[in-house]
Amino acid sequence: MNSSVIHEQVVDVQLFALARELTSVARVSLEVPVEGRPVTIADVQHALMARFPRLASLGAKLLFAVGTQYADENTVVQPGEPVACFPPVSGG
Amino acid sequence: MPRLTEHPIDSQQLLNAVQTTQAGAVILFLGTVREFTNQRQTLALDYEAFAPMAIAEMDRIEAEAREKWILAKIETIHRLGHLTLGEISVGVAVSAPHRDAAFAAGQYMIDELKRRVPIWKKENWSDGSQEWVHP
Repeated sequence: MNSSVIHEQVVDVQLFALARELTSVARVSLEVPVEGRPVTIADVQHALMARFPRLASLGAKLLFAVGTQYADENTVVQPGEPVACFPPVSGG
Repeated sequence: MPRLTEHPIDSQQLLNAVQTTQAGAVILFLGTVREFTNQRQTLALDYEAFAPMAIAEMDRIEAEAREKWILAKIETIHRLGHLTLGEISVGVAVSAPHRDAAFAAGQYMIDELKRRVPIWKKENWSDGSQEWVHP
């Protein structure tokens, strides 16, 4: 029997606008697998899409922030850092 | 200091806030709720923000404008919630010693706000449908 321990980092993600409506939640805690390197936005996005397949309609258009700064797929998410996920902005 | 508000934007207050004897030029940009977009009729817009990041991003835009041009005072404000036709959704006021800098900074700030600040609008069309606007 494989007894390897699976590590996870809990990442809190806030969702806005169409991303919130497609998921029906404004906030979700995701358990993101830790694979011997820091968790990145790409990992968070993967976990988010697995949890909410309906987000696929926004696909590559989805934007991410760590704290209050835009992030790209390589941005590291430290334990406890909040993530935001949203569609292209349309203020003004 | 940029602001978000649930209340109507007072354009005169924006002008008053940037007027100073250090400035020889004052510009004011207002974004307002337009009735027609490609022949579709809008009844109202609903605005939502990721507020802490919106303020942080507006702050960064103000700082960038101050690095690029010699300015006196800046005011940036965005309305949130339900807006009906003609209401002011966004206001940018800039004062500067000279008009070239005031115009250029005002244009830069509203362009960057629309490109970067995490705020979203939802159309309420005259046929009763609703639709998030995203580029």
